[in-house]
Amino acid sequence: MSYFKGIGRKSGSYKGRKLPLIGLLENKKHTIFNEYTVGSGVGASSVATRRLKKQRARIKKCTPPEPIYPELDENEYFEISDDVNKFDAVLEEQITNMELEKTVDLKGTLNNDVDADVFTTYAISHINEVSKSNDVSSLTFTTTSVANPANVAVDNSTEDNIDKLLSSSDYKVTTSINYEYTDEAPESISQNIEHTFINTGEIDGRLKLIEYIMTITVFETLLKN
Amino acid sequence: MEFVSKNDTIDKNDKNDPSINLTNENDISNKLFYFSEISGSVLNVNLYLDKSQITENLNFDCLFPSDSKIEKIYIFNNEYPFYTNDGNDATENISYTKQSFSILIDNSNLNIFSHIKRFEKKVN
Repeated sequence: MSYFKGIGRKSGSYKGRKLPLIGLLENKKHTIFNEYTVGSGVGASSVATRRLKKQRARIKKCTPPEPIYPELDENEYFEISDDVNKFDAVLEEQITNMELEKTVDLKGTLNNDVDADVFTTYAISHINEVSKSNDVSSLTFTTTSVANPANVAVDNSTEDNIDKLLSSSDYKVTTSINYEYTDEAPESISQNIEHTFINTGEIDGRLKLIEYIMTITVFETLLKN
Repeated sequence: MEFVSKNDTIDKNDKNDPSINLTNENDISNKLFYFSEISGSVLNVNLYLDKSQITENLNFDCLFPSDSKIEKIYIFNNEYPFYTNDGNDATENISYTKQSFSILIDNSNLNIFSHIKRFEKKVN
């Protein structure tokens, strides 16, 4: 089972987090497939049609629809659905082996704990990689989310701050940030966060010094509920 | 953005008019230039570019480990004015400053836009 769904940049993710289907806007049931189906319209049906409908209702399996988003930029942009409620060994392995410097859409706050574990695992992958060099080097990945996953990760850990959470016996991480919500971020916003890890090439004792630059840009939906 | 560490291009001999020179870079598009040697005592920096580097819809970033920022841009030794959005994201103890540039060409005129983001140490 894959937790990732490749979606395109035209998906509307940047336009607002709660973009409903057209059917929801009109408070009616709609299908995303706008093809005409015999016998599916309003009004009376003939006996034969009703009989066929009953037969179909029994034999037709309910299958999930195909992704409604175009699959542009697949393998460049990953989504951790809010339905994923557990950071299990399978997901951990996928994140650990995921190609670096990608964008991860963590969606809403329903599964904050999973988002936080995804962030921590992916961040450590980047720090481990960038710290292999003795020269100045850098790696960046991006998250889109309502809450800042780094803050949730710290809250869930026994560490006091993000520096201690991400540091190890091989490197020391120092975090700088340009902006953050002092209170909980409202659901109406999306935080696009660039997580940049710079190996400064400097050493403190035997620890490599890693600068973590967290660049936050906040987007607010123009859609009104 | 592709990360590029640049220290050999900084001319700090004139403390009153420090300059960084990117004219020898083949391509500056979509690059993040990291100037680790520019300290907090150097507040305003001049940037030198070459005319051949200017392309349509050009974007690049500069990152300083200080409160420094580029105040003047010289292209082929001519100074070009630019529009700046000075974000004021952080107010105290600035650890990093990132300055993003977008250059748009309109009827052979250069329009240079700059957006500044400042960073401070995250304590918790």
